[in-house]
Amino acid sequence: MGGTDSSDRDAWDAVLAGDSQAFGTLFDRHRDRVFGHALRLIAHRTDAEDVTAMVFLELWRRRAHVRFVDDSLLPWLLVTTRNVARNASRARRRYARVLAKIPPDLAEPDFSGRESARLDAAEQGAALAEAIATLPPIDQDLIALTALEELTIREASEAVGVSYGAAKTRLSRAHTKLRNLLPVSAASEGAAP
Amino acid sequence: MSPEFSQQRSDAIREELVANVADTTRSALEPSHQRWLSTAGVLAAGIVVGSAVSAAALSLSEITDLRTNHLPGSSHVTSTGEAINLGVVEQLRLPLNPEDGATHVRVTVSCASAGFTSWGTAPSDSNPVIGCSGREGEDVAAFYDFPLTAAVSSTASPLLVVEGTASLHMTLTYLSLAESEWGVNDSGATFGVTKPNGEFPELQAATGVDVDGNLIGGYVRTDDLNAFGPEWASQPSSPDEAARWQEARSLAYPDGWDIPLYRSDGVTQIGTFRIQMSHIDDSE
Repeated sequence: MGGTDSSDRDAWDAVLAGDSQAFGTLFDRHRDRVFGHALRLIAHRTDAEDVTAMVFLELWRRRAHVRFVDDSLLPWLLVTTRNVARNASRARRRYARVLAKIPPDLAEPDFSGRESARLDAAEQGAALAEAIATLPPIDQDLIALTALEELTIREASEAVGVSYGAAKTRLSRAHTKLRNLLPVSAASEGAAP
Repeated sequence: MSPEFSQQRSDAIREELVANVADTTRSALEPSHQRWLSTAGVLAAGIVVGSAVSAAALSLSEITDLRTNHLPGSSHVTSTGEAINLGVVEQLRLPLNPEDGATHVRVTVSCASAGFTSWGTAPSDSNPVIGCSGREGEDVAAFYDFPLTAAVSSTASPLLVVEGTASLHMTLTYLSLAESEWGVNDSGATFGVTKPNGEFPELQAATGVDVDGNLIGGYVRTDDLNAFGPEWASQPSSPDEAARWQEARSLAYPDGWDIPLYRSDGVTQIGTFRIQMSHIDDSE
């Protein structure tokens, strides 16, 4: 993890002791990684922003079950991002009151080449995303954390809550399945470190 | 170039998140608002890390129920030392001195004051967390068996770490736990719990519900656990097929589905087990 992640524990202890502003510090620190992960799953900026908000709401709601990996909250946040994105409609109902206070996205549609390029990249990744979606939820989390977020297998296993051996076995089987489902070029994107 | 987070919305989200935490914290400190964690929740936090049960959608009470049973493939106590009373602990970093032959240390805690505290010997701050109300009679004791292996700590001795805002009554007991073998039923299928190395039997222990909605222990088929869905006997063979199946599954089963819960024979159904597609549950 990065150097700033080493003080997640200090910030979290402060939150639990009643310092609500320390929670804002954690949001500032991990917002972009959570948002980026949500974008891979949803490919719509505003929805990914809402998912990001709901992930941090879940961080507080499930504060007794939060798990640190090498003093970092990021792996737990990334796993939660996938869960929230899968069930965004249910999460929206739970957090409707908070989401209603967030201003709507009034930005003009982006017809520039940047948006077109992003859509092209999204299409290329769609086949991989669809193939990953065929895996059991735990395997999806492990694939995302190792191949997309570049965590080690050990870090991913701790984030997901399975043993290291179980994670290795699951990843091996998942990669085999993905290779069988996808063309060679798409399969190489999901190669394990 | 990837889209950027709208700064206006980010500021609004941050403000709401901080307010949400402040409101909850304020309410928690008021005697009329008490919503604290159950002991089952504490045990689940410790059990999920390297758990022998990898099946999804177990509730906190279900996990606790499984912990009290000696299931094939699980560990059971073969010898135990005397309990070591540490008294009331607030903050602690204690090198442990395991007895010869001990494989685990059982750490038992109960609340002495209000707050949240993590406790245990896990190396990466993955210890269980206990929440204490501070009200007499509302909090219950919890325990977890931490393995005494080289992987637990990089130091010469395992380190017991206690950190948080609640003070705890604590005791230590050194144990020797032995791992049992899976059972094999008349059909030749293995049954039991997933082992620490990740291996799982053909029938995995789980807690589901019977026809009356009561919790009941049994076994689910690993194939049923890993199936794409209740109406799909196989896995999709192409991304296009996967996309079609996934859409159909989301429409038909937005909240998951049930699979059979059997006796160890893998034939006698005694209830059902719920598979959910998310860790988000509807209970607070």
